Amino acid sequence: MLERVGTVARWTLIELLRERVLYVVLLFTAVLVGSSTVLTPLAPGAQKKVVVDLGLAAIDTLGILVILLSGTSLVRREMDRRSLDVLLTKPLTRLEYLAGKWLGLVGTLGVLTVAMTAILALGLEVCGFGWHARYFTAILGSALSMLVMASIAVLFSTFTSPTLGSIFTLALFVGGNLSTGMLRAVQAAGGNRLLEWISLGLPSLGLFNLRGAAVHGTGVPRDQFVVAGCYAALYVMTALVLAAHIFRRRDFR
Amino acid sequence: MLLRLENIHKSFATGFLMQRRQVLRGLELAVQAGEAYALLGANGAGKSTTLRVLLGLARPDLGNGTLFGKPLGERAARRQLGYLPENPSFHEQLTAVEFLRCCGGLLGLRGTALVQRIDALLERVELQGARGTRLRKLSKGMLQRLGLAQALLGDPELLVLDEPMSGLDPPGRKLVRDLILEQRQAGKTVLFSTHILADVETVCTRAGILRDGRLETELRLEDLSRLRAESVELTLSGLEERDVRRLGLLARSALRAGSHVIFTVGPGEVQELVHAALEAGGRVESLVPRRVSLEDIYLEVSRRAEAPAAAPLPSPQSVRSGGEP
Amino acid sequence: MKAALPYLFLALLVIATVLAGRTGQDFLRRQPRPVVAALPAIPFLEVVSLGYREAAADLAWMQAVQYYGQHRQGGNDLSEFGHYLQAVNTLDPHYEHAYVLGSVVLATDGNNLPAALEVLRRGAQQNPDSGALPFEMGFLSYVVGDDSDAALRYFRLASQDPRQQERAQRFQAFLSRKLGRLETAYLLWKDLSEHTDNASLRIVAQESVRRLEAEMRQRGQVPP
Repeated sequence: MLERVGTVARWTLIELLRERVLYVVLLFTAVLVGSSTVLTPLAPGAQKKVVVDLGLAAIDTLGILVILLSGTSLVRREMDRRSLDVLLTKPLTRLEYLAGKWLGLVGTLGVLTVAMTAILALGLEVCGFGWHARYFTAILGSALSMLVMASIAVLFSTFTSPTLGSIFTLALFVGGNLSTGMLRAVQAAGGNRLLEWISLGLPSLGLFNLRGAAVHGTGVPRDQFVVAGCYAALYVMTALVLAAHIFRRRDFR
Repeated sequence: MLLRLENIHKSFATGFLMQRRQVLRGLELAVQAGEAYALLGANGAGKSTTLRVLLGLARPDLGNGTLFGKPLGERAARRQLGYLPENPSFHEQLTAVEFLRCCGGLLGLRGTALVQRIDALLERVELQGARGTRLRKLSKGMLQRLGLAQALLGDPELLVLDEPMSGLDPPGRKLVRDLILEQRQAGKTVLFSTHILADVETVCTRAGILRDGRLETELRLEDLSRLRAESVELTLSGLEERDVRRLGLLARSALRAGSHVIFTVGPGEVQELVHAALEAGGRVESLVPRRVSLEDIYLEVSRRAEAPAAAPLPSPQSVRSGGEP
Repeated sequence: MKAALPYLFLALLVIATVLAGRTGQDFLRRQPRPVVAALPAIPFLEVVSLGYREAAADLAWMQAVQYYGQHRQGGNDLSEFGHYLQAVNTLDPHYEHAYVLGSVVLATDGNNLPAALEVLRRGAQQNPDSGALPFEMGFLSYVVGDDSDAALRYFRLASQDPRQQERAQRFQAFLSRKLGRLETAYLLWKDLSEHTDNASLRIVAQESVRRLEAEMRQRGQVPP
C-alpha cells in the first residue's frame, strides 16, 4: 500500500513542480519580501517586525494560493483527461490514490515553503535584521494549516469542478480563520446548537496561527503543539476518508 | 470463463435536470481465456460503457459479472489486466519513461526488471526516440502507442483496448494488429472495441455486435471464413433479356449493370451457369469468388434492426438494374 | 485608404482615451487632498484580517505613522490617532513598540496624558511580563505629568522585569533622591554600582553613591 501511495505522490509532486504557476509564486514571494523592506521606513523602530510579519504572512497565504490554484483541480483534471481510468484499472484503491495525491500536493507545498523561507531569511540577512530560530515555529504552524487545507482541496476535487472547488476551499479557509470568533459570538448570544456544530465543523485554523508567538517570542505552550498536531492529523484523515467514500461511489463515463 | 457479464443494465444521469439515459439493457457477454474478442457497434451502442463496467470504472445498475472468477472491481483482478482507454491523454508534465516507471510502480514492478521491461516496450511500440519527451509534446498516435506500452507493462493475462486503432496511421495500425496477434499466440486474452472492421477479421477469434445496449449478434470469425467460399460473382455480357431471365433461375441473384449482368451463384453452380451462358451466345467477362466480409454482416444486422420486418434476401427471380435494390 | 481605416479608428480611440485620462487627472487634482483614509471599525478589521493580525497591525501602524506625519504638517488634529492606536493594539496586543510610541504621541502632541497612560495600562494588561510599558508610564508621569510619586511606583514595577531592571532602578534611585528618600536612593545606587556590567552606568552609580554618602552625613544620617 505504501509503495503505491508513494508512487502516486511522487508522480503528483513531479507534475506540480513542473507547472509554471509555482515559479510565479516564488517570484511573488521575492517581490513581497522586497516591498516589505521598502515599507520599513514607514514603521520606524519596528522595521524588523514588519519584514518578518509580512514575510510569514506571505508564506502562509501563498501556500493557500497554490492549494486553490492546483490542489482543487488535482483529481478533476485527471478525470477530464481520462488519465484517471488508466490509474484506477491498476491494483490501486481509490483511497490510496487520494492519499497519494494529497501527499504529492503536501510535498509540493513543502518544497515551496522551504524555498519561501530561504527567500525570507535572505531578505532579513540583507536588511541586517537576522533570522531567529523561533520563526520556524510560525512556519511549522503554517505547514499544519496547509496540510488541513490541502486535504479539504482534495475532498472538493473529487466531486466538484476546479472553480467551485476553489470557491468552497477559500470559503472554508475564511470560515476556519473566523471559527473561534464565530463560536464565541454564538455562545455569547445564548447559544445555538446548529451554529455551534457548524463552527466546530470548520477547520480551527487559529490553532495553527503561531506567527504572533514567533514574532514576539512569547512562546507556545507544549500542549498547543500536541493538540494542533493531533487535530491536523484527525482532520486530514477525516477529509481523505470522506473523499474516498465519495470517490468510490463515482462512475467514470 | 475468464470474464462474464450477466444481465447488465447501466444508465447515466445527463443534462441539467439529471435525466437518466439508459446505455446498457441486459447485456450478456462471456469471453474465454485465450480469445481475441472484438466488440463492435455504432456510436452510442454501449461499447465503452461495457468495458468500463467490466473494469470497475462504472457500477452496473443491475446485473453482475466476474473477472478472473472474482466480482467486478476487485483489486486482485486488476493485477492481471492492462487497459488502454479511447483517445488516451496522460500526465502532460511527465516524460514517457517517467510515466511508465510510475505505472510500473503501481504494478509492484521495480529496479532493473522494470527498467528492462520499459526499454523493451518502448522499442516494441517504436517510441524509444521519445523516451525523454514530455507527454504534452507527443502526437495523438504516439500517445496511443505509449498507452499500449503501459497496458502491456505488467504482462497482463487480459488486455482491454478501447478503440486501439484510433488515431493511428497504417503502420501504427499494423503495429497494434501485430501486438494483438502476439498476445494471442502467448495465450493471453484480448478484448477490444473498434470501428475498423477489416482489422477485426485479421486478429479476432470472435466478434460481438452491440446494438441499443444489448449484444445483438455474436459470431466466430472461423465461421466467417467459411462463408467466404459460399458464392461466386459471374459477370456476363451479350445476353438477350429472355436469356437473362432463364439464367437467373440458376442463380441466387442477378443484377444488370448496363450491358453486363452480374450473377451470384454457389461455388457448385458456376459450371452450369457458364455452360448455359455460352450456349445462349453470351460472354464471360469475369469470375470472382464473392467474399462475405464482417462489414456485410454488420451492415445486415444494422439494416435488420432498423427495419424489423426484414426485407427478404434477394431471390433468384429478382433482376435489378442500375444498382437498385 | 480603405485598408487604413481600422488603424485610423484605433489611433483616434487611443488619443481620445489619453485625453480623457488627462482630464480625469486634472479633475482629481482640483479636489481637496483627502486625509489619510480613516481606519474602519475595529471589529471589522479583526474579521477582515483573517489570521494575519500581526501583518494587519503593521499596516495599521504604518497608517498611524502617516496620520501622525500629516498632523506634524498641519493636516489634522490627531483626533483619530487614538482609534488607530486601538486598532493596532487590538490586532496585535503584544506590539509593545506601538504602545510606547503611541502613548508618547498622545501625551506630547496630543496633550492627553490620561489617554496615554490608559493605552500603556491596556498594554501592560496584555503583556504582564513586560517592564517596558510600566517604565514608559513612569517616564511620562514624571516628564509630562510631573508626578514623581506615581512615576516612582511605575519604575518600581518596571524593575521587576530583568530586561528593564537597570534602567528602571536608575530612574527609581533618581526619583527617590528627589523625593528626599536618601536611604532608598543610596541602596539603589549602591546595588547598581556593584552589579551593573555597563561601565558608564557604574561610574555614574559610584559617583551618586559618594554624593549621597556626603549628603547623608551632612544631615546626620549614617549610610546603610
